[in-house]
Amino acid sequence: MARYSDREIAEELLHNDARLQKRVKWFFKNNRKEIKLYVHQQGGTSTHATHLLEDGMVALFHHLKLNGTQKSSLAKQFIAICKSIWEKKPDAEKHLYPRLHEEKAMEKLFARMEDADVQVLKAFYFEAKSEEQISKQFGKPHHEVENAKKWNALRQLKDLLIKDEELLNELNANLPKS
Amino acid sequence: MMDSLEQRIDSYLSNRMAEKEKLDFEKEMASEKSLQKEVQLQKAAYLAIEKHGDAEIRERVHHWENPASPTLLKKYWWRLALPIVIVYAAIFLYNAFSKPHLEEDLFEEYFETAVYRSTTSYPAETFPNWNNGTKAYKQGDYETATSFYEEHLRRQTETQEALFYTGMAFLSQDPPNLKKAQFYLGQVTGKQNPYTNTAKWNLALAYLKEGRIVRTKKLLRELLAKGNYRKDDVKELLERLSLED
Repeated sequence: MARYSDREIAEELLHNDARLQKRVKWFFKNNRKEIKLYVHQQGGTSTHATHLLEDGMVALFHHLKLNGTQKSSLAKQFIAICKSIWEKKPDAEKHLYPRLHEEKAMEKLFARMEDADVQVLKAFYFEAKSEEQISKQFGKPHHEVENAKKWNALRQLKDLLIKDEELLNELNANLPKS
Repeated sequence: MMDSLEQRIDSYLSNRMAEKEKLDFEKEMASEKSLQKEVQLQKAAYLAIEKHGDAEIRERVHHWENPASPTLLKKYWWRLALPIVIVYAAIFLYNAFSKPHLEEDLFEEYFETAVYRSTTSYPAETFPNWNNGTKAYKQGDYETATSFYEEHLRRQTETQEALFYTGMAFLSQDPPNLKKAQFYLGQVTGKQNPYTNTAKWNLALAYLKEGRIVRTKKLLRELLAKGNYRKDDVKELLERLSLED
């Protein structure tokens, strides 16, 4: 019998609190072997499998944020997502880690902001948190967090981007065309 | 109160504007290049937040997948010592009715290495040891991290942050250096500071791993009494430890 329900795992993943990842870690550890086996069967290596698992967890997060929990089990969704990423990725890219440059740039960018401001931006724009959960996290009513923190933090981030033309151009190139 | 520019763009981009307001905004945007630029900039900011969040998830998964691996020497040593360990474990389990094993399992279940997130600036030229240590810490090489961190603490003024991450690096080693972790984390739990609760929780786990249940429980009760830090985990662990009494 499963130790945690899909709902519990999905909620924890979506809340993205680095300190509370017990259920997500349990879920990950229960499903990683199947992905590793799949990658090896496809001629990939352990490094390929690690990158695929990382991509898969990120994709699962966005999938849940967009669609909520669905009828099929979370494990099945995760495995299907990983396999789909692997199949779509060109062979030449499977051994690369193209995000290294991007991740470093993001780390540098957000390191210039106060941690509390970064947390506010993430709570509003990345994590699927309700107003109540945001109030609980910051110890203030949701609208107060929004008025006192969110807009200032967003302005700060925009100002930092203006100063980093190269990064801004890279981000603009990655924006979906409207 | 007048909405800020960020607030107006946010309403527009998240489709929360009424139809008329939206048309007016688009009209304004068509005539003002600067507004177009701000909208584009805000979209880029949203994308940056998303990419930063994605990177955090990847980093976490990477850490689960690649915990600090023991050196060859350690592996070899364990192989040599295996017969002794087996005999020792058998005697220990016989005497303690397998209780310490349970404590080790509980430690594994609850312990998470803290993601490095500094609130202080450490210019590389002034704090080379701290920067080298942090680089190793982020790569999961906790042995190297502790060497640099301890060197930093010897040369610089001790801060709560430095003591905290040094303690966490010792606790994250494989196997953890419990005494050192307890020494450094213990210094962070006194005065209230941003690391107090996290340090207290991890100090409790360090005692748990050592089988010092009374101290573990004392710290957990303090956490429970003074706030909401990991409330569910703290309560759950206390209950599980009480069941084993």
